[in-house]
Amino acid sequence: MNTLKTSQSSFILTILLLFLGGNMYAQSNYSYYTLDKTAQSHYLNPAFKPSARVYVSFPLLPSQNFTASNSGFTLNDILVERPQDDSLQISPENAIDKMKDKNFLTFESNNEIFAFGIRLKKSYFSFGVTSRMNANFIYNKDFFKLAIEGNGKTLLGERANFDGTEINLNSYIEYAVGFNREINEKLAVGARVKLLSGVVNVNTRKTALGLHTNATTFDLTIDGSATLNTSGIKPLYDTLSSDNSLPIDNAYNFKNFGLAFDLGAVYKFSDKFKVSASVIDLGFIDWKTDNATFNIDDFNYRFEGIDVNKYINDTTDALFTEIEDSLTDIFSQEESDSEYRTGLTTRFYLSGAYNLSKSFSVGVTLYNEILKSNYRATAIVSGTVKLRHWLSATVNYAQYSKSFGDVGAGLSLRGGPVQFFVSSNNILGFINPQKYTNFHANLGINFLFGNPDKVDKKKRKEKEQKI
Amino acid sequence: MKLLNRTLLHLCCVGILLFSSCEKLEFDKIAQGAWNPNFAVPIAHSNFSAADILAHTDSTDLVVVDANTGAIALVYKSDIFSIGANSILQLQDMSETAVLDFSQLNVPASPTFIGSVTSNNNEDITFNAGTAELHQVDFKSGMISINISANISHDITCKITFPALNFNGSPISETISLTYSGSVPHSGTATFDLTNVLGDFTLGSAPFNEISVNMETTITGTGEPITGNEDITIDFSITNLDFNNAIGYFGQNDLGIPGDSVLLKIFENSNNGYFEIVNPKINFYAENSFGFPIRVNFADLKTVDVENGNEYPLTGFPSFFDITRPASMGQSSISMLELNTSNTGNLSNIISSVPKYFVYQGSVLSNPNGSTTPLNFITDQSQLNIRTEVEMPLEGSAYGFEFKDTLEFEFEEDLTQLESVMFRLNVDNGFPVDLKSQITFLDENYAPLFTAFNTPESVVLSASVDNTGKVNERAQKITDINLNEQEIQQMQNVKYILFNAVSQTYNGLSGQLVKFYDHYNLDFRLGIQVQGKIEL
Repeated sequence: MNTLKTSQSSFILTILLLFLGGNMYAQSNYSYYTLDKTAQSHYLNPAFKPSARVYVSFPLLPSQNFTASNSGFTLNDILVERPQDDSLQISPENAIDKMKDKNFLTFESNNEIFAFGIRLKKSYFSFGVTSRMNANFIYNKDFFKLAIEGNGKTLLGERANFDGTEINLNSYIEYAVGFNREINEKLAVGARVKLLSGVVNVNTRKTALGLHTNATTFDLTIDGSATLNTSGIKPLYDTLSSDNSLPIDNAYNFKNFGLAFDLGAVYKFSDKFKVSASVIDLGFIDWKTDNATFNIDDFNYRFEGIDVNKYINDTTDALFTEIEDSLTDIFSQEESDSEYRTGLTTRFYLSGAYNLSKSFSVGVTLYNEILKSNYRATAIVSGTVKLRHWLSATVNYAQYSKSFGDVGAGLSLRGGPVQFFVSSNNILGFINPQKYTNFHANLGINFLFGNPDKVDKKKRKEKEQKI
Repeated sequence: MKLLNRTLLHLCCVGILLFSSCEKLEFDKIAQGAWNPNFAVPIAHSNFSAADILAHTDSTDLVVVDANTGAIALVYKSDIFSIGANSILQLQDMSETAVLDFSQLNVPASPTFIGSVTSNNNEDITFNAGTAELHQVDFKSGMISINISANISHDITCKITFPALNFNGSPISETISLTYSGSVPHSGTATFDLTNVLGDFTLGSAPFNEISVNMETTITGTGEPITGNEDITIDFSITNLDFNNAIGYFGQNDLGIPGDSVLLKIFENSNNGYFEIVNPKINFYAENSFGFPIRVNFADLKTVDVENGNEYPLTGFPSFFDITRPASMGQSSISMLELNTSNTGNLSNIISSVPKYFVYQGSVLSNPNGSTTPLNFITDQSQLNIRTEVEMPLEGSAYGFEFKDTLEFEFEEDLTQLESVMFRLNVDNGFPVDLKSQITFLDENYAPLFTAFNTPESVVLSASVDNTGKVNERAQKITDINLNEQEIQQMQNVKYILFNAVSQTYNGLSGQLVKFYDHYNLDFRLGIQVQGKIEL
């Protein structure tokens, strides 16, 4: 019995852990943004470039970026200390109290496959292939209320609202060509053009779903409608499909073609103060192959229990068959293979940095993102240390909405031609996982050859002496 | 450089602080949790009409609706008596022998007879029809077998004719030849099929039940002598007689003693109460296709409560019920006798104490006035069916109308994860009747374990009525049946559930009359709310 209870506890804990994370929709690698001399920094602002003439990503550990987050609740919200001792008590009701009406469970990974860059005088060229995937599940507070409380408490007489529940998955391969150039000593601009080959997509266009419990009779009324686009999923379940291709085949064939742009600029007002701005992932993917769009029209079904008169006058089987048929009719879905387009999660960075000394600077960054018409902004203050060309370290604090923010940090180490970097938007998430609910890590190794900044500084020094 | 060192120092301090505040996940500290969901779901619902409530189990029960007013009445029916044609008339097998002697054969004595002599003789055959006096029969089936045996050493031809038996308008006839071959007696046979033969039984010496047969005999000499001792024996065997129809007089017979009862289902499960109906009726219906009149003599009419043995005799009712004959063959006559408050002494009273049965006894007599014209007739399809209907127009009042029923119950599921259960009954009542109920949960020895309510609870409130007794406002009632944890755990010991209810019409105790109409209905909804307590 104890084993069973332990298993139950473990299972529930596992489910809870899956829902842990932070308040992020998509990748927001703002800790890395301030490490602007690291090779991959131009992923966040195409006007950035590394302190090297040539860089090549290390094949065994190119840049890997992972984000997992849940906006719903923390582990501390669900494991509460008992008053009588220091034991922890599973308290899902407490977690429900902490939830917002709409909550986000997200996972994102950007796995660099190969990348290189080369600096030619004032110009910088780059090329990179990255596998990108993001998934999110948008759920309502009532979803957990119904599961934890049932419909007989706060939901009695109310409509349990699951409107806007979404499941989304976007997987594609990004082939990016980048270019930036120092226009003059103050201004540098850059752009990346990205050809995208869509692999798998699940896109919830519309969901409305509700369950109303009549407070007097307990009659249940379910209503809603839904439209769900999928691409690359159909061959996994449709055994009759003539196409035996696997979704991974779409990684390079561009059948699901997409196009995106990154734009960026850096402007130095002085040696001490500079501003930068960028727009990332401004683009779309047209999904054309292995598509299946499911549509459930508006429905409204009221279940009032078994009709006793029919029960008396008919067979039990016939009665339940009738209910089953009714539900089948209601939830019957239309499936089509129509093509559709999805937009990318477009992000904006706006940043200012001030050098307090030659090695230490402070900065403010405003991070914005737009996902399916949802706009979200985060303000970040950071402090960054740069020791010559071998070390860069940054610590930042990010504030979003009205909640406490995260403490992020990043480190870039260069020894000879090897550059190792690691960063996280929320290091506290690893230290106190029960308190902080988002996890983010970005790390990788590059090979860097040459240090043009060193040469540039030398030239600048000679120039100053001449003057 | 100093600034850098200071900054690094600050970063280290921040790092130390962060790590010192590190809280490890101590999963071993997780104590048992609990999941306490509360679910509310509907179980059942329905909208019951008067017919659904009052006559849902037996198709012989009827809720009769007055087409003009919509007023309804309960009708409980029972077949009293049924008799068919074969019980009235049966034609028996029979046999007859005619012996034609020397003199009847009209043949002279001679040592050597050569030549031909013909004689004609008649024989009457009497049919056995019991007490019936048959005048005419249209046979459905039947067979006449004839066997002729001659003690004459000459050739014989015998023509048998039945003048009273006609097929397609002609008497049936058969010729039988007997050829002498050196020894006597010599014989011959013949058969007559009586299918669709029309028999006239009035042409014989008697006015009914007889037919005559004509025997024309021709003897052709073979040269052998005629000694004077010769004769011819003719045997008639009549078998398998059945009729399509018959005319005559079928007697004054006691056709049986009908005695039975009608279950008044509305009172079937009631133990007590007072029930008053404004205009009850007991109707007797007879459908008669026999061509003679019939009379039902009533011996005893009463209601009986079989549980306490109380009997409530009906008084002042007509002593007999005359059933007319149809005008012609193939038709039926419908006769009806209505017993109501006008032609009885106490019809309203004998049902006021909620009896279980209406009991009747009597006798049925054919031709109660003897043999009168016109003649009786009968066909093979003739029937007499008598049924009774106890009609209870639902207009009146009732109170203390008590129902009790015990249902077997078995529940083996583990309910330890339930903390409480609530059944919610929503009743929206359009009938002018209320119901107070108690539900008792019993163990295998019928000992009460617990009850649904502390005291009997009104689960159905009566709709109110206007001064004509018609409902003018429905009544709603929500009743919650709460089972606590202890009662839930006892459910496994419950083997029987006793339902007890007391009902009355709107202000029934004060004699307020109410009327029931076909548009009345009762909306019923049953839901359940369960509070769980599941340890994790």
